[in-house]
Amino acid sequence: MLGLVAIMLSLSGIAIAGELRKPSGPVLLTVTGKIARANGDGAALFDEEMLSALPQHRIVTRTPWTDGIKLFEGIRLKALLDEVAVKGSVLRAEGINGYRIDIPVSDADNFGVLIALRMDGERLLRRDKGPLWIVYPRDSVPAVRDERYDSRWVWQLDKIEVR
Amino acid sequence: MLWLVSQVHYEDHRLALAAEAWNRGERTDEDAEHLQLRLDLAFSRLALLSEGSLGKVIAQHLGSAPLEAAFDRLTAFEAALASATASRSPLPHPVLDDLLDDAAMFRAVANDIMIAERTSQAAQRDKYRAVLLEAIFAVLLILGFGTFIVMRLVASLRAAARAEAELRRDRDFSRLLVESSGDGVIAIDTEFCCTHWNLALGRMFPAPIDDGRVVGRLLQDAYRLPEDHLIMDMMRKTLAGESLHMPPHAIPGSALYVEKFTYPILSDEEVIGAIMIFRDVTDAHLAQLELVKHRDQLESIVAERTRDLEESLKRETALRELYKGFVSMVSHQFRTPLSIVDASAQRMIRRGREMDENEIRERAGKIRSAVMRLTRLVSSTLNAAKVDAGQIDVEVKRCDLARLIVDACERQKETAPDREFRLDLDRLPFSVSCDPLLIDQVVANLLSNAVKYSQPPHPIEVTANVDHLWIHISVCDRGIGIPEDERPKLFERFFRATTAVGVEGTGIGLHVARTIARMHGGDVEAFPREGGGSSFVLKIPIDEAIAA
Repeated sequence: MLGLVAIMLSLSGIAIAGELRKPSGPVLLTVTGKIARANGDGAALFDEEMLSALPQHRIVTRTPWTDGIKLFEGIRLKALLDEVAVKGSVLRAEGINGYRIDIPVSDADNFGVLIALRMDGERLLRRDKGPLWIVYPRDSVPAVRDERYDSRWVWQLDKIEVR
Repeated sequence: MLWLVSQVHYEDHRLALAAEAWNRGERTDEDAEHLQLRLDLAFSRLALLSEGSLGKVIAQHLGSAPLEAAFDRLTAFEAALASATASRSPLPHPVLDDLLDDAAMFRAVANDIMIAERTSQAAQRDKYRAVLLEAIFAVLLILGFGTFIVMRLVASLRAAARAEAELRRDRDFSRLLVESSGDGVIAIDTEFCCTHWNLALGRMFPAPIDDGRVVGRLLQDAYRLPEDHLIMDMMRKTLAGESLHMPPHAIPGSALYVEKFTYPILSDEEVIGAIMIFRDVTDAHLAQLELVKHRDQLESIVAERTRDLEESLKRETALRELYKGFVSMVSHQFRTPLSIVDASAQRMIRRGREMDENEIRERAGKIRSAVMRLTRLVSSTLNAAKVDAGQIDVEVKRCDLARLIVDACERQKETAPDREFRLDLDRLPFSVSCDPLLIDQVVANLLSNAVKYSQPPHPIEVTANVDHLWIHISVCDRGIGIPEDERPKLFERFFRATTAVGVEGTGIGLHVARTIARMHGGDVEAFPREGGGSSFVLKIPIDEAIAA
């Protein structure tokens, strides 16, 4: 009985605009726009702890901006979008330096796109391409080995607007 | 790349602007944080230039020294920033100037890169243009070839269609040809599948299948032929390359006569099928049969004519024999009396008046007797000629045969008074139907023969016997008889037995006798007599037999 209620609650948590937990540390990522779940003024704010609480995944690949094969660890973009119950079809991702690009929501489903927090076990830093870097499985999926997809590798990611 | 370099330039400037603001007195925590952010970003842009595939390109343009110098200056700025943040003091000017110098340096690098890129892009464009031209040329070439191929294709399609139409026309024509043949035609391929078949064959041999479609079926299925059927055999041999001909033969169960020909169908000396032609030769065959019949008839007619001719020849030969016999008879029988007459005449001439009356009488008597003999010979010869020529008519009347025989004996007695006749005529009927004159000749002939060829004192016996059909009159003597081997010739004209030499006779009498007897439907036959001599029997049918 209790379990059933828990399942129902968790289902309704996704289905209805349940409130996200408030961030306790410095906010790393802000998701705005057509989302069903938020934690402050229509925006979903994520701190390091909230992101680390989501299931962790990895991608091993080469990139045009680094030397050698790199191991990226972080959360699936898909998991993040589910977390905020996304309603749109396009994500406008923006970096700290103001770099902006539109990414179709379908990329998250099709390629298992990662929001990396660590590279080769090291925490990504703002001085490099951190703290968050959108990573595509460039080596394992030939379809994304393309300049149009390379442009979607947004580093120093701090905002996503769902449109 | 240009973008990246300009980013470094841009971030350096923004850091410189933030540092200026700090130096102007905006020194809150937030400002310190902002300065730190700008410094981080400046670091991160600089890091971009030294890493990855882009870093390599930058190193080629710039070398590593300027980047390292810029990194050192940023580090120096960071140290200055740390102390300035801690003491809330202005940043030292040389650090700011270095930052602006770097920015200027990167702007210059950006210029160089821009020009280099523009040049390289122009070169790239030239290359692309050349490639494009080549591609266009290739495309045009391919298009040309394509057009050529399409045209050839269309031409060959058209030719194929034309060939197809011609083939169809040929096929229609050949079908027409096969159909208009009066002969039955059937063709098969090497698998025994029928490829041609005409109605003429259908009329001769209707196929025992429902729809009557023979073409497309196996020969053995269409006509229900067993594997060892004659036609299957012929077809197999024909497919092996033989041409066969089967002469006209009757078709069992029909009135047809059919002649069969088979020929292999060759294509480039390879047998691709066989054709069999059935010719209905019933009419020709019947005509031939008719011809054979006519020939047989003709042959039988020829044989008949030949037989007639042979008979004529035989008759002719017989006549010649007859003539020879006649000549021989005349030379013997006529010469003797003539020589008697001649001798008597010579004697009378020689003697003249010396002859006395008695001698004259004797001589004249001899002459008369010889003339009489000649007269008899002539009359009997003439008589025989008449009989042979059929100039004698039989005048049948009722007569007393016994009286007739007795009279004939009397007449015979006149010339041979020393002979005795024993008559036994009691069984004769009172009247018999016959020609008395002719029968008298027969009886006289038989009696005179008996007198001539026998000697006294043996009597001559005349006996009459009657049965239910015949009257038999036998004249028997004890004379010289007839040799056995000459008996069959006895009744031929002018024949004289070898035993009759020296006895006057023409050889005609018995022949005439038999001819007359046969004209009466009877006969005269000769038998040897027991104890010597001959027996001649005249046989005539009694009244009832004649009437019948």
